Amino acid sequence: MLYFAGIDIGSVNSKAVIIKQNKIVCFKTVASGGNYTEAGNNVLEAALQAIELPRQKLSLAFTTGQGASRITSDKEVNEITSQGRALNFLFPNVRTIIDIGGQATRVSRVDEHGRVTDFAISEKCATGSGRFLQVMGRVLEVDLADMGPLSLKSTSPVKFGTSCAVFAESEAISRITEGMTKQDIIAGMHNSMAAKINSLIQRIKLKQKCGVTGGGAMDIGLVKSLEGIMESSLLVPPEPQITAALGAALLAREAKT
Amino acid sequence: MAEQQKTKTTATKSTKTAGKVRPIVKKMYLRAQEAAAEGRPIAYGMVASQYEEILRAMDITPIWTENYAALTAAKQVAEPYITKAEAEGFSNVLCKYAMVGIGFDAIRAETGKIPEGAPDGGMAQPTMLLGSSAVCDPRFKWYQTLGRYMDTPIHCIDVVYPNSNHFTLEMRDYYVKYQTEQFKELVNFLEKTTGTKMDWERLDHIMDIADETIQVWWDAYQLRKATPCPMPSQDHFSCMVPAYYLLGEQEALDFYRELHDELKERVDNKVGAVENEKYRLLWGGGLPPWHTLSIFNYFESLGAVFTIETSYHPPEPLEPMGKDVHPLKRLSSRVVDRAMKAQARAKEGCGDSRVQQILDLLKEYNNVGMMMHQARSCRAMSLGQIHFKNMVQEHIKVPTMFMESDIVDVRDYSEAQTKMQVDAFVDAVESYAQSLN
Repeated sequence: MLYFAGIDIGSVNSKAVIIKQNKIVCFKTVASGGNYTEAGNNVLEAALQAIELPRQKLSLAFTTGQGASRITSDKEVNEITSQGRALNFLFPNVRTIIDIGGQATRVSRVDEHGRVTDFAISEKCATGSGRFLQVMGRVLEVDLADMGPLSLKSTSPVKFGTSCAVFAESEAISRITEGMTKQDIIAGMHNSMAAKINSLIQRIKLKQKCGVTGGGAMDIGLVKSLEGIMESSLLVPPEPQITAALGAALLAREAKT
Repeated sequence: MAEQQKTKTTATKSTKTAGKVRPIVKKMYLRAQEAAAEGRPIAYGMVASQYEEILRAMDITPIWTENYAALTAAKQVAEPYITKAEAEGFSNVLCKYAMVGIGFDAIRAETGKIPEGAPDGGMAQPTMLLGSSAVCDPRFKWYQTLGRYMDTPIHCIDVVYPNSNHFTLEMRDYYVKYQTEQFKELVNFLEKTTGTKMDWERLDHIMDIADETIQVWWDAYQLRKATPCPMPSQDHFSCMVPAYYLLGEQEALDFYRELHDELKERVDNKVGAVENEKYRLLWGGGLPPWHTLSIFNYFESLGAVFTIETSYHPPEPLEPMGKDVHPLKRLSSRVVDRAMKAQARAKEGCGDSRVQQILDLLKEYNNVGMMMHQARSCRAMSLGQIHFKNMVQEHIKVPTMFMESDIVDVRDYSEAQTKMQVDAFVDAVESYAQSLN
């Protein structure tokens, strides 16, 4: 049987997925830290060890993501293309994909084969990306994993008067001193992000069904806020952070067949 | 200490003729420096203001200040001028052409000499400033601002662009009359400032050369419809220089004759800009990122070639006017009739002249993708791009990429992000091309 690997070296985390035939046999995630080469090699090694597979048994390994060029692989593939293949594999009826990564948010339209037909990327601005969540988590002293559940408890979300992450940080501090609750501030932040992401979606025009991936998709507060502003339900993969790596593995399999 | 290797950011050109533009640009600035040394009149001017031939007929040496800003960007030396303008209190979201120009003249005013290390010897001190309303407002506000740094006569003209689908012949005549008055006032200003009279016969002759130049340029670009495409956009962004900055000179006409011959030969021998042309693309809006034109070569490495562009596109030649028409009326008619021609085509098509141009160029040049450049500091050329794309997609679902950067300021550019976008875009173009087959 042939094994294929996809490694996604992102700005925050590095992920590796190994597939065999039509199944994900293993996936691993490690923090990217400051060394993409080390992170990429380590995460692949961890995945191989987990299923006791020698590296030479891999038929092909493709890389994607911010640090894709930093490790040796059979091919470097595009993140947006990878996401298209992965979401098509997980949800064949998906036609729009929102990928909320640490560095940028990307929205793409795909055809019935998961091939990208149009896309838009957030400009060089943190507000529409996962970085915004990290910044605000630090200001509010809330773990990223707790932000979503807290946001859902909000009764009166704060309306941010800015779409800039830097200004929003100081605005959040002002709101804390005014006595606003963390859940209302976080919910307001989610709404602000959702509005920014929704403007990207409008650029390429939403086509149902729509899936959401990336680290941002693990934040239930953000997903609910997006669903609200889009007036549409979203499909969330069970492991939204690994989809780019999965797509790279699927592209490797495609290349072999 | 070992010298750090500089990364190449200029584009590798495809045609030999495009390679001849750089010496022409150098000569432009040298000419102005010589004029300054000899005490001859020098004008700061704005490209596409339609007064190029008037200056030429009166022996006024032009310095195209926007071109100089683009040159500093291409040479990766724009930043000191931009930061100087910022230090003078100008916002960093203003037009970066203007910021470079203002920074340059602020430094000159402060030091009493051309800034050290300025490319091509720098811009000579002008004896007059000629603003215009063509395209955007920095084109007259910039020169007004220069009053802080130099005491130089200034004149701004209005250049009409009738942008409506509801023309009548009566409206056309009104626009021509108004534009003629604008040119008359300009000539009066130039005569007063230089102390020399306009030679109308000479202007007429210069306009003949200009008209022929436009015709040859237009004909040359028709050859780019061939497959494989013989000339890519990075060559165009050089080859447009003689038409915009030397219009009316024999040298410009000779340049396009040479370009035409080269393109014809390439077409006859099926020599393409890309060895294995896979995708044909349209540069559908915005000025180019002068700081990193090498991005075009990245496209080429993926088998994609930009066959044509809406920016600096050669104007469609017009029927020649009779010899009894006054040269200023002839010049004005050219301005108005070009716009009216575009409007007439739009009227028969989608209704918007800018969108119609995109639709026509997609079809005529057999393009399967389009890129638009959203330049942060160039709102005039970036505004409405998403709307245009949406309008285009009502007719044809061509994949479109929006590149986000700037015309000059490399600080607004992310190489990694742009290349990632290009990769995804080319994938989308591939899917689209397959769907057409």
